[in-house]
Amino acid sequence: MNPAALAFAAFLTAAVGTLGGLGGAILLVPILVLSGMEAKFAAPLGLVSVAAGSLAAAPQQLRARVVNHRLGVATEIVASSAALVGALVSGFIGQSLLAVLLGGVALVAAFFGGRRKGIRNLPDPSLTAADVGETPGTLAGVYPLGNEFVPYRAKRLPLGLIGMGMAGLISGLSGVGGGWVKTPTASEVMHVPVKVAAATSTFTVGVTAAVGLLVYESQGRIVVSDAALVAAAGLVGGTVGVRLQHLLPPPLVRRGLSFTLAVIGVLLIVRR
Amino acid sequence: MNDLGVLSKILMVALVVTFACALGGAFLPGTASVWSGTACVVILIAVPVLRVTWLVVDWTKSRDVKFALLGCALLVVLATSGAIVFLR
Repeated sequence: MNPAALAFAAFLTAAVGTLGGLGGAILLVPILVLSGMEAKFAAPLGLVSVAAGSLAAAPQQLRARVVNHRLGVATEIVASSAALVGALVSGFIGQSLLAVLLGGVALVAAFFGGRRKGIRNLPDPSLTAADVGETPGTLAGVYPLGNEFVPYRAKRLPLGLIGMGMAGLISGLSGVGGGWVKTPTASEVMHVPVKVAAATSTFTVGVTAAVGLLVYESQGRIVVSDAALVAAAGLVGGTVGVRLQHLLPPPLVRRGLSFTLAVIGVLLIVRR
Repeated sequence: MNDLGVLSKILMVALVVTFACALGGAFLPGTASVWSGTACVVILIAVPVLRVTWLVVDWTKSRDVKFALLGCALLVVLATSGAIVFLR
């Protein structure tokens, strides 16, 4: 792939990945492989894109207090542990079976996200801008929606942790990151508002990507010039994605997320 | 109350530095390109770990013990994962 096309692909996937909290690698890696790049070199570039998108989104998401770090840290322990198990057993599972499993998970997540109507968490008129952020000691908080403020609390934690464990396992097995499972799990299973779920997922996929990049660096699989180009484009794409996330209404973000997941699911199953 | 404003400013500096290093890695000639690109990747790896460490310190200061311990547990998981992968 020529440098201009690589930069454009990295920009686009980082923007979409950050907007929906998907991570971007699930989109970028198939594009790179389809363009003729070897998977063993495409996977590290996917994680560079994820890490860049996560970093680009962080300052604005922190200023907006839309990330729930407590939820992210609590769920990432399970996800990272499962990712390690997945990476260790990845050699025992056929890639074709894995692609069908991944595609099936993406389609199920797309279905549940797409069929829901309206907004689950409603604004509370008694809340003010001073209430925005996380509630210490809990997995709850308040996030801004236009000129209103919406309280939320993560529900069904055990089921959510199972989902996050699955996301980690899939990430470890496939090497494409698990943001595309984490965001729907937080939103649809734990009833966290989609914008908070996406922002929190963007934080946690950065953590997962850091570990993955360390591994790839130790294996000498990172082509520095390509990685730098993807990082530069990913930083710009992530900045654009997080601005769009701030501007767009939650139902539109959720529908966009469902559509993207459906495309990913079909691509994974067709390409296996 | 978490002082996320300070963390946001630190991450903004990291973002600008990483972008400069990434541009250097992509467009500078010779070894300058390699050093710049490597610095970019190193920052991308370091930032999330530093962010979790910052949160652990912040939660410890604000006596949110439960989540400070969870943050420590996450750092242990990450360190263990890195060690296992390197040893293999």
